[in-house]
Amino acid sequence: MANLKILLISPGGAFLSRNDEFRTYMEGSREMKTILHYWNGLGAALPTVAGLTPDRHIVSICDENYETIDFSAPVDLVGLTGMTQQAPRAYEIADEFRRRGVYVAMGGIHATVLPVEALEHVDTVLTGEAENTWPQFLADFEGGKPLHRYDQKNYPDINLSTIPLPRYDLVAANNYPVVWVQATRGCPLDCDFCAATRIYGAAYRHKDADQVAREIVEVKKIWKHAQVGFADDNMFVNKKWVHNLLDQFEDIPFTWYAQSDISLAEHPDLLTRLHRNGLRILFVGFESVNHENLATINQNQWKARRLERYPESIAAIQGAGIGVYGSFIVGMEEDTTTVFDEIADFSNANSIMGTQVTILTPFPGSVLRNRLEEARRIVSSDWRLYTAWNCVITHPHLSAQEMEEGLLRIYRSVYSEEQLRSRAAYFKNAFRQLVGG
Amino acid sequence: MDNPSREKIESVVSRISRIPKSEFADDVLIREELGIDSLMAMEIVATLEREFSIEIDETEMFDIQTVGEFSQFVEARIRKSHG
Repeated sequence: MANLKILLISPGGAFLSRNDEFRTYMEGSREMKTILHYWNGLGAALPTVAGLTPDRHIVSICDENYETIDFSAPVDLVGLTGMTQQAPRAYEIADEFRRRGVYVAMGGIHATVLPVEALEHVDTVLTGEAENTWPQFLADFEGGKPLHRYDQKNYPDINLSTIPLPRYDLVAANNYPVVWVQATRGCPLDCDFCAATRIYGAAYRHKDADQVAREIVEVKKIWKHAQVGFADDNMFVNKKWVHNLLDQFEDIPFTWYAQSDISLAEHPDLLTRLHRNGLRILFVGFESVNHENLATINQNQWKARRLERYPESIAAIQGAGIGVYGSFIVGMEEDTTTVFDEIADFSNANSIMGTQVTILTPFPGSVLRNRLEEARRIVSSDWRLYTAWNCVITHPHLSAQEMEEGLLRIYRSVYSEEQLRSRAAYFKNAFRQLVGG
Repeated sequence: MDNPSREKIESVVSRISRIPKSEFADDVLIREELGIDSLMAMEIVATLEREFSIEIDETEMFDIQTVGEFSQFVEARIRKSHG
């Protein structure tokens, strides 16, 4: 079989809390819409998989958050991806295509950590990174003998510098405010609530600097004014490579967002260079302002050891003209009813540009889930609730209602009119210092 | 362009946002179409304050929607400050 017609689908996702008051607040708040704006951009997965597909096939991408799926489309093969909260919708889509006689394969983080569950709805599951498994699956499918499972663990390690250019052109019609590009994979911190290392491993790897630059040029050619976000969990681990990357960025007029751990604050010269070359917002996972909580996240207490220096680190990054978007989690072991005020006060006192707070969620594949399962503390495995804005666990000191309502209280505080004005003044002042005013 | 203030304003916005000046038509939306967020807006405000020796109340930026509105707003501050 040649010239396969392949439809790759990113299922629609819920990004809202089940709490009615919270939903009403989100829908009416400009700042909360900004959070949705950041996280509703195009993910890197399907353009990457499309890029791995041999040219002789006809491949298209449907992002259900932007388009309606045409179930009657004449396709030979459907490929699905999805995070945990998208899994129920992915399964509905798979069931419908299979009912119509279309072969369905699924990859992505959820299928990687729960392949047996996924196989109840799809014909083939691809676990881990796709660079080896997807081409092999396609070859087997063409030969009429596709397997039910393809696991990256059974293939050679992937060299990121050989990955073809992702097919951003296939989703050019969607008006994305943010396009997420992948430059690195892996994170050395291996936090217990994070399942990402199950798909990428802990080893930090990166694409070549000029390869990333070519992707940026392609993205900006298609979406002139979209922001570029780097989807990498911890982008600046290899400082020499980052400097090479910034050499490439000198000549590309764009601004961008990235994710990093807080240790970037210890490199003032690099911060200056990052700002000069377009980095505007840095997402940082603070997780908690409680030392005991942080001590449980990493075996080597990486985050706990930096807690005392959080304020000076934030000041260093923001003083370089880069806004910190801080991520916090409520529902960690030591949290009590004071946690909501503690996080809001910390965010406000440090004039953090943006604050995202979520509820501790035992994502499948995480060490946290194993721990909470053993303690019988998981009250729901309805994946639709796994947005990290709903409480699906029991907690020694906090009820689900307290956590969901407390979350809203934090947002109302950090995005109050008073705090918005205060932060605007803080940043104008910071930039005055930078421009020498 | 025969308005030197406008040209200077656009140069500052272009340098900070890394968007070519040719994109700055009057009716273009600053946030939605150019992707200039509140952080970049504060950097632009601080730089314009220095360039023109003016004072801008940063909170007045919250309601400005388009490139044209922004230029007029800054030009008015310049006129007010320099007579």
